[in-house]
Amino acid sequence: MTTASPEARTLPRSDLLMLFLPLILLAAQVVVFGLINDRFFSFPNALNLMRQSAVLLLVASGLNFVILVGSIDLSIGAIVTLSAVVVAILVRDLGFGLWSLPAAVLVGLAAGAVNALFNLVGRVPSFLATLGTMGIFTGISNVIGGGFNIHFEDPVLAWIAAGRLIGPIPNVALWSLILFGVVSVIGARTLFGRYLYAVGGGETVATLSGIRVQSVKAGAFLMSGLMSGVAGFLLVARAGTATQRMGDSLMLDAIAAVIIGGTALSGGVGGIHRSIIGVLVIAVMSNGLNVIGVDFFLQTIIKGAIVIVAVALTLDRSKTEFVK
Amino acid sequence: MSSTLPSAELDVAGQSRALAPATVRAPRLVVDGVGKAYGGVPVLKSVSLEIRPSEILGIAGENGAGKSTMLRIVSGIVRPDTGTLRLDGKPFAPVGYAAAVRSGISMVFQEQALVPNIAVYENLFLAHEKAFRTRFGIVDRNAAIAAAAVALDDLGLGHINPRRQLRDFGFEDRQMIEIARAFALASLHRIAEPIILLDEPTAAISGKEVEALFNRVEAFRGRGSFVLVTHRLSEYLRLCDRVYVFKDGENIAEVGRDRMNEARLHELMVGRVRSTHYYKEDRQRPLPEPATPVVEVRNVSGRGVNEVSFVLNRGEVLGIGGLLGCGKEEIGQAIAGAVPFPQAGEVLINGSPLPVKRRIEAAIAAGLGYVPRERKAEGLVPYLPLRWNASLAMLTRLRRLGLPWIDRGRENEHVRREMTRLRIKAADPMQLCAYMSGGNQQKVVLAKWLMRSPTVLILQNPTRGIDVGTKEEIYGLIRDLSEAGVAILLISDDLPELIGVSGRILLMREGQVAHEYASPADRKPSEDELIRHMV
Repeated sequence: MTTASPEARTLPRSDLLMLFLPLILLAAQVVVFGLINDRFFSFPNALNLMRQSAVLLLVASGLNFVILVGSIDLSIGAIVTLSAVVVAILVRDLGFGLWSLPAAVLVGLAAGAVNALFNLVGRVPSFLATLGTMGIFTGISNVIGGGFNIHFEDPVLAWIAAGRLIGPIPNVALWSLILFGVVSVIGARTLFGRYLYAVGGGETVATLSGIRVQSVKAGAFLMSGLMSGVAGFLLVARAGTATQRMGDSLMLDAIAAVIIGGTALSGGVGGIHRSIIGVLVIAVMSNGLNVIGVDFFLQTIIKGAIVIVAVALTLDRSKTEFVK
Repeated sequence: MSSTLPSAELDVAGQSRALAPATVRAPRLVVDGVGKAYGGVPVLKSVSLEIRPSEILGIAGENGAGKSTMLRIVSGIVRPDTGTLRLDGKPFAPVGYAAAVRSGISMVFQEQALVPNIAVYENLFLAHEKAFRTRFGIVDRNAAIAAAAVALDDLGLGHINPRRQLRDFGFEDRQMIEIARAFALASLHRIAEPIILLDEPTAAISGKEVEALFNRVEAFRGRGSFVLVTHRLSEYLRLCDRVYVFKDGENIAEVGRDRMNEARLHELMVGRVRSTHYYKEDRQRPLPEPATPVVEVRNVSGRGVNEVSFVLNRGEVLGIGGLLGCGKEEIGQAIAGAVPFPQAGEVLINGSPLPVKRRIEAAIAAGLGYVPRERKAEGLVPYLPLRWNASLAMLTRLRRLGLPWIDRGRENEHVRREMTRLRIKAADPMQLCAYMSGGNQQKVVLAKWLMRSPTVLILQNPTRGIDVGTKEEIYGLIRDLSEAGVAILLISDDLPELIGVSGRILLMREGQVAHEYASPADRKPSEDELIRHMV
């Protein structure tokens, strides 16, 4: 067998660079923020960072499933809010306690199923289908919450979010990491995981290889919904109050995190496990800007600019024929 | 091999058919010592050649010999690392394709480089609208339309209305429009005779279309120079005055019209004499009596096919031929359950009928393997590793403990075995298929099905766009499988292949089986015989 032919090279240099660019970006952020204010490196801040990134990690790794198959889910923020509102009402009014977790899971799965239905049965492009359901889910949250903040006090939920099971690590980060580990393994080692890549990279090829493309896509939407539902539960458990727009900012952050992590918007390239790098880039940026005391309104401008630069740097254009 | 270039092969300038005039004109384009490497791997090593006025020049060679790279250099898409180009005696170093076009060099791309949803005239002058700009910076549409009409009329394409959208025209007309574009742009830039590069112009067409294209090219011969690159050797014989043969990035021979024949070109390209049994006819065996039917097709009708019935037996290679649109491709799709689904009729594999819904899954489960026509769009996912592509259809059998977990050790084992058996050239199984040659990609598609030990294989143009060496390997593989009892349905546009490989041939016309031929090893039907029943 030849080894000198151009075919023999497994990873072209550009691919290796793509693998490490997000890490370099992350390291650069850490150095810059650390130099400006050494409080950034403090232990309490590290814990803070974990708490802040836990929810985003769940949402982003769920969304990653949908992006891998070449679709998009814009309703994730709305699902987080809906799940949070439902949990808050169940805990405050009906004393559900920990039983609100299965409820959150159900809300997430149901929302994912609705998205899958519109996209796969109704044949509405995922961008529009989930743009629509984003409005629908937000509206449902408003209706059942009556437009008010829902405050509750529950020791179990408080422990789930703020308690410490292992050392100083906040529980919310622990659950998030465990779930992230589980879905990463699903993405990397199972048939479903492998099918995600095949469907995202070539739907026709997948169909002609006997793969049920529709089921794989439906599975991706369900994963996205499920993870957002659980994220909503953890978010509201940490806050103790459900507000009407509490999940909104997660949608763009999650999309940015997935892309920075290296999953192409066109599908078929990337990996669920890579979400965590993108999440860290986003979380460190938010946290760092806070620590060095940047004005909140200025923060959003800087954040937007950094996301664009990060995506521009890390997006592997060699594998995407077009930029949507 | 390149050192053993026989001197008799060299053609003296002016000897060829088209260059009869006593005043031998200077070459249009001279390429001198051009080299190009990608990532340290040389693709062209100091290649020299010349393109003469009013000639049809061929560049032959296996996949990866450097033909396409040469065309890309001549058309300014790629810049050479070393060497020089001279156009009409002046140094020529085009920066980008548009610059080459301004100098009168155009490429007719394999995948047509036209925009379907704009008008023909807009396509003709796309990116060169500047020439029609009025004082106010607006494009003078009427002038452009008039110029387009003149260009089309001039080439005998008067039936094409330049105002119509491109998508209104068939493939044949679109290809003509692309050639017309080359002439129109040349005259726009005041170049009398363009140089037109044809990069596998017949890869996607068959029979009648090829003939139409070639007739046009011959008719245009006196009005410019053509460079042809194709995978069908017979096309060089049909059209070219001279052929350069590339091998491993070098220009190893120039063959003149009088010395040109298929065997000679083949030998030069591959570096060895073409075996007399290219299609391995010597390994073709008659079917045992009685034959065991594996696939039974009963009165299948649907899009493109009408009441088709036939039986495919164990160990048989059944060929299906016919012109483009005769339904041969569709019948393969209907059996496998790729779209379009059949509307009526039955398909049985080993006696049990396949359902219409989710047919492909049932067919695969029943032992069918389907190698589609479009390798990169239907056969494999380019940006996935070889291993993942190869194992795609058999993952369900690679579960660990029956759970939906992939046993990657076994997966690797299976893939490596197929890589060895099919001689897939790749450093390791995690190499991305996008970076592999067409022949190797096709082997990966075959591996995907061979891993499942299929009982039936449907092959749609399995050797299209593949170099001759790999073709021969695939024919050998077909014999191996046939000997092992696999029933093979070979659907092909390539007549010699169809005749050589198949043991029985069905010819289709207008969605129906028009004729059946026995094609035993010792009594192969001739191409002419088949063509008579195809048209």
